[in-house]
Amino acid sequence: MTDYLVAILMFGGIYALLGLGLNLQWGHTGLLNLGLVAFFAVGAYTSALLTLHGVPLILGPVVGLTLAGLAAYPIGRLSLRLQDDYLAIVSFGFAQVVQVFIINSSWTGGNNGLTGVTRFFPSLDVTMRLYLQLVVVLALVLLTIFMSHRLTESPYGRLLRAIRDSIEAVGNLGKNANDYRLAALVLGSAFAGLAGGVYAHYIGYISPDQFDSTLSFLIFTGIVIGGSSHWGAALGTLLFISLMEATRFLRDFEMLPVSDSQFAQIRLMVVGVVLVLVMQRRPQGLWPYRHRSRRARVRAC
Amino acid sequence: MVALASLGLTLIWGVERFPNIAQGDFLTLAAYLTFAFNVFFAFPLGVAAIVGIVVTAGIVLLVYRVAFRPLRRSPTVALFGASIGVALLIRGMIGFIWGTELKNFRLPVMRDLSFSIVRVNPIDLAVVAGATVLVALLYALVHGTRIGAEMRAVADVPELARVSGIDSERVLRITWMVAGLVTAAAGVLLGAKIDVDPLLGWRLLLAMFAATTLGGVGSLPGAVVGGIVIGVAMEVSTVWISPAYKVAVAFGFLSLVLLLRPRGLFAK
Repeated sequence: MTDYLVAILMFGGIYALLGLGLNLQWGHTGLLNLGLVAFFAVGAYTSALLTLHGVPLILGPVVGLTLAGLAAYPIGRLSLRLQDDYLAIVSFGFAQVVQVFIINSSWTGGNNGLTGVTRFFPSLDVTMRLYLQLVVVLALVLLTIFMSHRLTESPYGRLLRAIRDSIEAVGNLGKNANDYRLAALVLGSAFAGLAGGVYAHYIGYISPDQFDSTLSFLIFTGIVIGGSSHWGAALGTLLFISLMEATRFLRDFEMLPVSDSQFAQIRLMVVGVVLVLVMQRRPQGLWPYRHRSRRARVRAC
Repeated sequence: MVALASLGLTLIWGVERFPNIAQGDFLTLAAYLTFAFNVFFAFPLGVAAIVGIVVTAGIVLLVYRVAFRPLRRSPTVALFGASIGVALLIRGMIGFIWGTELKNFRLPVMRDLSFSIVRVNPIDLAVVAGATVLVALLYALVHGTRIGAEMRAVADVPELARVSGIDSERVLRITWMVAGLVTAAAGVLLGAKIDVDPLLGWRLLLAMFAATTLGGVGSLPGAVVGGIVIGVAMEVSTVWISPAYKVAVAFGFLSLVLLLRPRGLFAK
């Protein structure tokens, strides 16, 4: 039972990292990245493949993070000079292409995925390892929150929010808004890449179906519920994903007269309804980012 | 096929100004409803198709009323987020009711028709004919009727349309309904051609986005031409590369269009 809770927290922490990355893009800059899962996958596969070929474990996630960030660059260059909706479409397409590529390449293990990915702390016993991993992940989440916080409280962060609220105003102030948006996209995607690396070394096995686009939408729902403050995004994603995991219990208690796959579909429906309701009733989420007035922000940059 | 599916998307995108993620799932829904009427209730396929299309359009309208209309004054991104929610809801519902196995319509077995040297499958012929009729009807509606002119007005400058006394609420309602009908028809025709599964429309979505962008958002002839170009390119590409990479071809087109002519071919 405790192990199960730790595992849920572990996944929650990894998804919180994803949520923080997306929050930097969506919550603070207004960028809709529908391909979040692709950057997660790039991080996971890069790190897994590198360590499988003998690269030290600590380097894997770092390279994964870098590559995920680099992958975001052309996507941003291509779509950010256009209207908002194009980023969503291009990133959505990118995610599909990445998935198809992973499934059909031999060096990624195809549909079978990669097994035997090096785990964290291989020399320790199982329980010890579990807790140490949790500490590492939670520390990473805290570190990311801290970094995001420093970032968004800096002049650069104020500028990002100003861009989200009025890109024209920022342009009129002589700032090149697109460069800043591109930076936010790259940075957020790098966070997703880091999450991917951690994920790969935690479960030790990765396959294409773990990087389905539904995951992007779940994370999106998580941060929308949480709101755009960093704690909100992290907690929102963590709670939402944990809740989704925990509902598996309901199924175990035989409380509902439906099959396993039907139950999965019900969960999908609930997520859909929650997303629409949040958009309608509380678009700012549970923990919105508290900031100064819009005019102060535009003046500040 | 891609052309037909893109028509509904371009209508909504043009008038409501957001790319509707749920469009692919509307298409899937129509295919499943037709399947249900055809196989469970044993309607003849033609009747089942019509009932399926009408019911789907009704559901699309309901979705608009419940999910999208309350967001009229919200930023585009909120509509976009809501459309993801709608997509998940519909997909979950389809999976819940019908499961995830492949389904097929009860089609009469037909031999290929021969026209001197060309042999054509009757289903393909029906798909092409159906698509052509739909495109013609839609074009007549948008460019030949009063409501069509109003739709274009709301798409161009919503404020101006409102001060001119156009009931934009009614226009939006009709736009959603028409888009629902066309998308549903595309779903039924697609279902007649290939196996129906819960991700039928979802897999087509990227191609639809690429076609709409290539043709120019909001342009009907653009969607048709874009759809044909993307569809043919995706099929022809399988001569050289694995069919699995068809998606990458659509993505490549999308990237090229955005790089070279982001307004699309038929932009006003």
